[in-house]
Amino acid sequence: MSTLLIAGIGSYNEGDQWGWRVARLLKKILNAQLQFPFNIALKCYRSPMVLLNDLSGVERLVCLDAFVSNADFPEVVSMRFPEEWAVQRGVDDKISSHQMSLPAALHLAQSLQMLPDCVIIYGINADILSKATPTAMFRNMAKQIATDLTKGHCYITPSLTRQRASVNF
Amino acid sequence: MTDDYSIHIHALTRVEGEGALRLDIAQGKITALQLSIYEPPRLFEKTVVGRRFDEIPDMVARICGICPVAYQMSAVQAFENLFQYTPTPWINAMRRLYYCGEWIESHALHIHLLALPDYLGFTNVIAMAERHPAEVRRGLALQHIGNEIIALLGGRSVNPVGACVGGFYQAPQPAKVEELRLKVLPLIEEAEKLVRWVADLAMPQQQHKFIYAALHNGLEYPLCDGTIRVSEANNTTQDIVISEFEQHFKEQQVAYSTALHCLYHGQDYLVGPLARLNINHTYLPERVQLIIAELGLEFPSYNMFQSMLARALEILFALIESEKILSAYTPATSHYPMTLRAGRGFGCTEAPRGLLWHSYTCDELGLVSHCRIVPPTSQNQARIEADLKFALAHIALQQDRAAVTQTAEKIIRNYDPCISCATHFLRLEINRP
Repeated sequence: MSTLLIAGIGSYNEGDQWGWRVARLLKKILNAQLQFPFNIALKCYRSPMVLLNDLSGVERLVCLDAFVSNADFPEVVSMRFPEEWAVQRGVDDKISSHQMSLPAALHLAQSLQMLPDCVIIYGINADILSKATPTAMFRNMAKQIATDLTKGHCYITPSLTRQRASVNF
Repeated sequence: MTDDYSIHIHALTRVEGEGALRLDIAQGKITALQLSIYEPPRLFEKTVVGRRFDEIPDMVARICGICPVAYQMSAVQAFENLFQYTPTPWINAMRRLYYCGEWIESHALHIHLLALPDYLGFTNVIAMAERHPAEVRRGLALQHIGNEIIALLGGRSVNPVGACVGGFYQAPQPAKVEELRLKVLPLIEEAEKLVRWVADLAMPQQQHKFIYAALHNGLEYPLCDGTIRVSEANNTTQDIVISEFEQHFKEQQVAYSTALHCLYHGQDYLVGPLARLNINHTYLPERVQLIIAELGLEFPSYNMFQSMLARALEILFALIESEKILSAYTPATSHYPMTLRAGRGFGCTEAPRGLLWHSYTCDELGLVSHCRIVPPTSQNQARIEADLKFALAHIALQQDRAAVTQTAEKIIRNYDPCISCATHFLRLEINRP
């Protein structure tokens, strides 16, 4: 059975923690689905670059990170990497000694030929969420992502790129 | 190229924080050069006022995501100095190990992600990795082991929380220590390869005498203790006890930068790996000294382009030192309580980028009433500007504008400036009737 790594990116700070929170809920949901054909590993990262140390043997990578969008409602945006990212954003090379963004870390993994066959980034709109946001909202997001994954998002080969719309909650 | 022109690099890339460079050239000469740091001040020295001494190491660690250990170690040293506490040899050894982890991760990151693309003709590490995957992988492995060493004592590698005034909250389990030692061991050889590889890169041969300063203790390569040794341009040296730092080093504000410039008796000076190596190379382990001899390297070096090589040599040193400490490890009492007293304490350690000086004044309850922190980047700022003036005049001004810009950025990155660290202070002058 191949390995799917759920990578929560963020920290304990305010909106930056939503990636971690939804990642933990997502693992619970996927673990409960007996038919889900992957070994599921979960790890929460503060620095996306550290993710590169854990990619050996991983065939499916699901990254969850907080992001800021213009939407005034909680939303999760999904994007396959690198295909959809490259089309929409180009190569992000914002690199400093303190910071390497998730896309930059994934681009580096790609250059080093370490990138798993399937990489999906889920962006969770951090601007609209707060500590007062009910847990049910996060659980709902995790459920929707789980559905998205089990519907087949994980099974697409890299050559079959498709444009995905935002998933609103 | 003799036209009059100005170069304004609005945002320096591959450095930490936000800075810019303004350069005016007229008739082939530099008429104005300003390294402008415009990142807003972060006010840490005021934030810690009123807080208890035991909160401070974790608070000041947040000044820097890449060198939190340095901030913790300078802070604990300052409070222990105030409370007249002498750490046990076990605690000193663990602090050395903890610090080695930070040097390894910070230097590996700087070499591979920030500096090397300049020397190999790439715009960034992502492009460089396609041509040099083995070297970038090695860099990431070195950076990772540094993080693991930090996590052993700090609980985690980013914003570690294991250090405290009086020692560490916990002593690591021997099994974990041995597991880590076995990971460190093969990387010593990899670090040797890194040193040789960096030494083989074509570097500009630019000799330019400058003042440099680093800790020196006459016993070992300095990380956490010693006096500040300053090597002056006339080849004399001066040893300064850290409590007398302010009598020799003065910070001053410049109009174009939010970071203070620190000067030694009015002169710019260098801190960091090359300064440490210049002053302390004879205290490096035999294995490092042999490589230095084999490669024909000579110290002191006045070629700032050897900074990257100095970092590679320090990675090798730090791995050898880590393995030595891990090999000798036995658990012991990890921390001791403090007997509080009012007064002022001083701490100074060698952050990856150079001297990091702290001073705290506390009352009898251990509450901080005054804090002063002088980070390495504010000490190096004036030196960076002097180096730019010298190097551009000698090697770049006759080239086209793009080449001048590229050389200027390369020189600045050589210093691995941490702008966010340097902009934590704001001098407020309030006049009230």
